[in-house]
Amino acid sequence: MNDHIVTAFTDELESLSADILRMGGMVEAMIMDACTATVAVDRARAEQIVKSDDDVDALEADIERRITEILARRQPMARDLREVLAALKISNELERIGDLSKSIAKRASVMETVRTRSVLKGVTRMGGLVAAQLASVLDAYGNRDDVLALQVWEDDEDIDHYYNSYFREVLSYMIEDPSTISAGAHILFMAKNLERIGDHATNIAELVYFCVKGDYLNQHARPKLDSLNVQAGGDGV
Amino acid sequence: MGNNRILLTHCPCEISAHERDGSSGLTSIGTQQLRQRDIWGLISGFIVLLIALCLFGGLGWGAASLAAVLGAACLLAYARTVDAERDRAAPLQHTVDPIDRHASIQKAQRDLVLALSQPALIVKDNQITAFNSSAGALFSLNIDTVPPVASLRHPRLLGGISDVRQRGESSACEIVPARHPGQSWSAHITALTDHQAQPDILIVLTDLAPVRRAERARADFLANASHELRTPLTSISGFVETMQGVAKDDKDAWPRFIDIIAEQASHMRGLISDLLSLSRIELGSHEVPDTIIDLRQTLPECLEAMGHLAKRQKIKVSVQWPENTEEAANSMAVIGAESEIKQVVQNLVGNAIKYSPEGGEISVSAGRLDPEQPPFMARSWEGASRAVLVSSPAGDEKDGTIWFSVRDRGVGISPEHLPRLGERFFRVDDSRGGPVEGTGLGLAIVKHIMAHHHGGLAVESRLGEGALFTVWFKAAPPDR
Repeated sequence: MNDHIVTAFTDELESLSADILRMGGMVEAMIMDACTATVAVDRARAEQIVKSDDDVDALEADIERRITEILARRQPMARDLREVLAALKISNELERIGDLSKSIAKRASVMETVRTRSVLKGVTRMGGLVAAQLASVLDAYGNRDDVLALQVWEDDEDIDHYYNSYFREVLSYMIEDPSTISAGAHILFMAKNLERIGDHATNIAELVYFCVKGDYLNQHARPKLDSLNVQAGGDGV
Repeated sequence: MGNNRILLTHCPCEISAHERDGSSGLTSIGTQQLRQRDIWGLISGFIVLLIALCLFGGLGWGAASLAAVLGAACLLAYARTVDAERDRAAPLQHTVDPIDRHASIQKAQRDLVLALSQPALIVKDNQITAFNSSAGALFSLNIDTVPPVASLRHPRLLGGISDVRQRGESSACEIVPARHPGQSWSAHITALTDHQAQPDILIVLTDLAPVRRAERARADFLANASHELRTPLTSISGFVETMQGVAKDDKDAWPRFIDIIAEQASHMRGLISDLLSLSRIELGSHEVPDTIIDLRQTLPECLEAMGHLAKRQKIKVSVQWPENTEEAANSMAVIGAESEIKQVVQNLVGNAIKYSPEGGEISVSAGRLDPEQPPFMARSWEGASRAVLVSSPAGDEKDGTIWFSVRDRGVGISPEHLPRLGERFFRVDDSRGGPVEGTGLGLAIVKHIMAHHHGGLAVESRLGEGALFTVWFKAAPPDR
């Protein structure tokens, strides 16, 4: 980060970015823990994850308060303004990811009824993909690396593909045995939550790109795969 | 002052304390000495003035001579303080500069971190001041920058760091990096200096993958071993039940049942004895065998013992090794344990017999190699795929190696299965109708024995054309 004549401003910006990274780390761990806890039906751990979302919310509120203060007192321009705006929006995205992870963790007790455990492998696998995606985008933010951000933005397609194939797998599992429908529906919601997390990670990638380059990414819109989903009869999720 | 110096050389934190004060204790000592020198100089000057006054008649001659003596004494004393100061000042100059000292600590810390092969990093205040390349890769840190500690991101790791800061103890935690969700690492967090409010913190990470792998291997082994033991047991108890129940009075069928029971029991016995010998070899694996065995005696003995097996399957065994001549007197002596070498030969020849079709042929050969030649090339086979399952540490072959190989002409092994051959209970394909009496442990035992002997084991094969197993031992030194 550039040095300012008022070193306190540099310090403020640096601690802001450090707290975004810290928040990102909390959310990352939440995603992975939520997936393992649900698959293993570990209720105690799921409870912990639900509680840890409060910390994420508190951190977000604190970051927002500090950003308002910076905007009011320092009136940042150019790169500094982008830094501050990106931090504000990234913290929002991370908070949303935290909520989605919490909602995955809440389904831990339902997973007990799933008899074919192999159908849950997709949750772990997709959770790993999404967590790696979020980790890359946070790395991109930490190093202000627009190339890596762009790559994350493009790689979201993999997660969409995986989501679609997993959707069909769970659907066929539900068709095979109607008694699994309620558990299956929960699995579908978890997969959808993970897919949403992936989308939030791409949003962060756009913000990192904006912060470094001062340009918007979404003008050359990324192809979304939702149309495929509709063809597969999986609309309405 | 001496005390101060000791502190300075041994305790880096003291330095930073001085650094923060702005004026070091040592600097004040220097000024004190300078002042002392000035006082002596002033007194000498006054005395010289007195002498001058006397010379020009201002004072008496007695006073003048006294002043001259005093002046000389003062000059002498002055000269001595100058010398002493120089003596002391020279070594002090190096330890005085706190910035130098600080830089050297940082350099030492960086060297320490770079010297470690595991991922390691040093955290000072809120920054990662030193990290090695493996830590950089694990946490995606940019080598050109001084990244903030928040770049580590993992909440348990950051929590551990602040714990160590507050309590000054070391702490450990296990993390799964989100970048590589399949891995898990154990992090050790230690405070490097504990007198400061903000100590430098060293974090060293250990890969838990080998531990996890070992745990899985142990669980797999237990599951396999119990499965292998249960299979014959199920059939034994099944036949016993039949004899007690349905076939209670069918005494004609009993001999057939008893034969099967006996066969299964002997299979179990073989399995247990294999398991026991495997664990025995593992127990003795730290004792390097040191007896000298002449393969020209051991090999024929083993083959003779295997003769009946080969005869039963009508298999022709052709043998080829150096003749028992004067010249070859010492040529086939190896360092090893006789019982283990016998077991290697028996297992390899036994496997070859088992996997050969009835009326087939196997060839057994042995020979000696020059130190330069790679041992597994002893009998290279064009067009076959090869896997080296055990290889001895290099640079240990000054006396050459002695190889022994067995070639069968059975179904052969497909290339993708070759590297897995020495695994316990690994069978290439159950459906292809391999021999029933195999325990799945024979090659595992051979592999262990060869590793124990610092020898080697290689296998070459081509589907449909059989397989060639080669083992090699260190040759005994010629003078013994």
